[in-house]
Amino acid sequence: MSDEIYKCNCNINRRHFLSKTSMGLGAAALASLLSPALLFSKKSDPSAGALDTPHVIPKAKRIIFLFQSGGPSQHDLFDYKPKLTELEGEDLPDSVMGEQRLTGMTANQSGFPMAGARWKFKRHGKSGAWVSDLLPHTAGIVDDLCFLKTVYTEEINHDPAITFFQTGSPQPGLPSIGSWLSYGLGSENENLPAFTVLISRGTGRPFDQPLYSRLWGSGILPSLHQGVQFRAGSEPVLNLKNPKGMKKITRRNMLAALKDLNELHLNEYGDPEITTRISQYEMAYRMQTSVPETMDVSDEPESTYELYGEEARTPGTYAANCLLARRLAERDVRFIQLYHMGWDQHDGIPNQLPLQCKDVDQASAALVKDLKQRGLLDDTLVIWGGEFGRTAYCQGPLTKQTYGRDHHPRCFTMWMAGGGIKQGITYGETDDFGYNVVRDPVHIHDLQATILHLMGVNHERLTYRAQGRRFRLTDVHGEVVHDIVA
Amino acid sequence: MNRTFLFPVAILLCLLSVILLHTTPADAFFLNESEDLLAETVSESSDISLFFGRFHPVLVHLPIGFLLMAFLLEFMSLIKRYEQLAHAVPFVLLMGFLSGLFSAATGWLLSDGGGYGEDLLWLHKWLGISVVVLSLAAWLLRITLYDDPFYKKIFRVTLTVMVIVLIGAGHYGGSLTHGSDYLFRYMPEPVRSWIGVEEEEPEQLSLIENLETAHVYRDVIEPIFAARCQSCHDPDRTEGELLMTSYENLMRGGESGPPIEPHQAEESDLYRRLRLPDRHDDRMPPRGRTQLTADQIRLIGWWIEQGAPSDPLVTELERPGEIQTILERLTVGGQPFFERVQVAQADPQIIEEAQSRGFRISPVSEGTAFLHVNTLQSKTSVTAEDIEALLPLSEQITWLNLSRTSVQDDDLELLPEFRNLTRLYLQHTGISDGTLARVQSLENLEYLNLYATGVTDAGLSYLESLQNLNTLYLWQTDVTADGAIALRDRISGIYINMGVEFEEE
Repeated sequence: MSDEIYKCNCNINRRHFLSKTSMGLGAAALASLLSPALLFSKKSDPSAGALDTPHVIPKAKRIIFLFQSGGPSQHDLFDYKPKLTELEGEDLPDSVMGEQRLTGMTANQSGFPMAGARWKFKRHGKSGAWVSDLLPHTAGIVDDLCFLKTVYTEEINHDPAITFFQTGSPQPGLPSIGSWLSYGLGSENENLPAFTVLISRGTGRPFDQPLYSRLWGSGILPSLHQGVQFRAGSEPVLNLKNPKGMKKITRRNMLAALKDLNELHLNEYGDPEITTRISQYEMAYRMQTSVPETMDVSDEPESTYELYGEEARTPGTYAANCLLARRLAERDVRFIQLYHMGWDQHDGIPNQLPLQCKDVDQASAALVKDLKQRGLLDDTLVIWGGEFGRTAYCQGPLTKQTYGRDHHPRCFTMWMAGGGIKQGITYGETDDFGYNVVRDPVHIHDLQATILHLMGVNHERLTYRAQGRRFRLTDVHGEVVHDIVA
Repeated sequence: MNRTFLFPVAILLCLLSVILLHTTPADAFFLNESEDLLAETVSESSDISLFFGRFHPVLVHLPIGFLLMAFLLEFMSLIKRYEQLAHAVPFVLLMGFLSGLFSAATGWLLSDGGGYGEDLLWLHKWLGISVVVLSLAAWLLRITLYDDPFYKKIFRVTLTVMVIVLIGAGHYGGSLTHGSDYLFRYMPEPVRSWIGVEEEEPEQLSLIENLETAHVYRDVIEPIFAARCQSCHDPDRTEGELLMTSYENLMRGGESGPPIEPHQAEESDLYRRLRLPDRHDDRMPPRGRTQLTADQIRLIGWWIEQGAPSDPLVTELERPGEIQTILERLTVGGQPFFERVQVAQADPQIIEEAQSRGFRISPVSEGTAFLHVNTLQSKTSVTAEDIEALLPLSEQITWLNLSRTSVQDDDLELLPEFRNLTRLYLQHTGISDGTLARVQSLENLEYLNLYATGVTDAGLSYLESLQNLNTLYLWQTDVTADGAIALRDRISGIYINMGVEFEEE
């Protein structure tokens, strides 16, 4: 019976054939005329990027994003405002606060007393950048860094703000920056995913806001481009190991047979998703070797731990993740995303913040130095910062012993280093209260456009069609901040 | 032969000329040095003539339609089946002529208003008038002498010439309103070269021969305006009534006043517009045009801060470090490598062959043929044969990464052939001073990574001739601090990294 249906399907008459093929041929001819590169380019290798070539000469080949989840307090770390200390306890003037939307946590507070930093600030390096005493190691590398004092976002709560930072939209569902770059530029390492994720918990506030795997999800892009989380412990990538009792050769044979079946299927339907699937199985197989090899730090000399700190010996810490980030960068992984949680200091800044800083200070600086001595910093972009900043005014009681700060989206500080970023500069300026931008604002979309630009991608031209329209990381916004590009 | 038809022709022609000439300022015909007179013409023309003039774009499509229709009808009627169409030709032609007459008249009034490029306008004006005259001639021929086989031919020739002139007039009219590159600007590439329209290359700025003798306006700022602004702000188009073709005109300004406030870049309209977001309506150059680079904008900002002077030499002005760097990049030989050197596209066949040996080869970026070569993770052994496979690409390869492979000195005998290398990654390999002797001839080299190799102070001396070298990595080698310092004294501006422990020095 099915044979009959098949014959019927094959039974195309002459007129039908001509009308179908003439349109098809015409369309093909037109397509080749308009864009020959598109029609004749080979896209059989799924690890190749969607872009044939970068749009501009890339300054960076890879990115290490040291995401400080929760919103580090710029007032206590980088953005030095003696005025806040001088006027401590007085309410923040209305003229400064303006129409700012506040979170439910402080909106009903009876007053908004200004709170200065409890730590001393000094200028460091030749560039004279301000850094507080909480970050002595970071202070030691300021001449390699570019401080952005005026990053701002529109989101005021953690999840939308992180989602906005990662995907260019506060609503979930769009691809993360790493996924966009994996999609656009492809992978430089056939044995590891182009987008890897490492997570650590902060000691300052160990039970902080959670993170969701969709933050490194591929959204509308093919799932091939999603971030792969490397965990601490015996199984860094879930479900990668062979189950008990399965030998390596058995797995190999199984995959070979599966590949044959998939190829049969591919020949029948020609669906490119099947090619992706075949290559993903092969990649997973190679990762069974490459992942343990990358995660095995036993070949690291003692000097490594002098640089990164003793904590780097404990898997799962931020320091250990920084070390892994360097190892992944050496292996040409395109996008290495770290998250360090616990930066959400609504209260107890004097106790919590030093712990958070201790977690990240030495290792972040060590990573920059280590990349530098290996010659990797020239083409690796390192980004440090959170989803928003914290308020100039105090949340909750302001006492000698304690104070806290609420979320502040209007301006916060980040730093970047390497990969085509100017060294030893501070960009942008906030007002005397660190509450509003005075000069050179940098919107999240601007930052994203700049990141793509450094990777050789024009943010307006890296698009993906879904739900009937084209999407891009920066939506319809974003300007490259050329003033920070070397 | 009956020549009475010539009477009405002559009368109508005279009438037409008189009407047209009467409404024109006499000197407009001879106006070539229009720059200075332009402003006057603008104020002279009366509001009422401009009021009528602005109907020109509305009317102008009528004669185009009528006259093309007449042409179509005439030649369709040659086919037996459509014979009867011939009867409609005289009427359609007459309509074409009359609407053409009105169009020409309103066009004339509009051109009095000024604001159009004289050369283009002249062409459009006279082609337009020719269309009117030709349509009249055609109509007269059609109603009088059409039965004579000889004049029938003349009529058809006239009709054809009229259509050609009509297309010309229409095209230049379009160019007047939309800009001369309007039609072909977005033409896709294969068609473009096929019909012989040159691809719109962003105009290259001429380089400065010698920074010491360069004038800030004439040699630095003006070339930027010439390449990016003058296509609209020239006497042909005078967008916004601003002419950027001379210093005096620029400083005088246009519709929105003087664009430059000396010493105050932030207050200057020109600088403000250059820095507006891409999609802002006031942004210059407008969307779709080649934009200024960030460096060019910085130079203009610096120039305005310096008082926007026209005369001084560059060296007479204060130049912050960043500006000096940008200026040096504008000099002959000071340009970045990828702008200075152009190579032919590599043969895809050869790239594919090399890739099959375990190399990952990708273009550096759009618009250049240079290649970036890396090795696959699985390729840990690189041999002399591998390097030989890359040899046909030696022109194009500019970044070569052989790090963490088994490559040895002996395998790199062909290295001197890769003359366009700007970045060479040899870290974690078995190479030693022997390779540096070969690197010596790579005079374009800017970046060299030798960390964790066997190089020594002796080998480093080979690098002294590499004056473009600006970054060198020597951690975990046998090079001593003294050796590194010796090299640093020889190459100006080089950065040498010996590892974290040497950072303080």
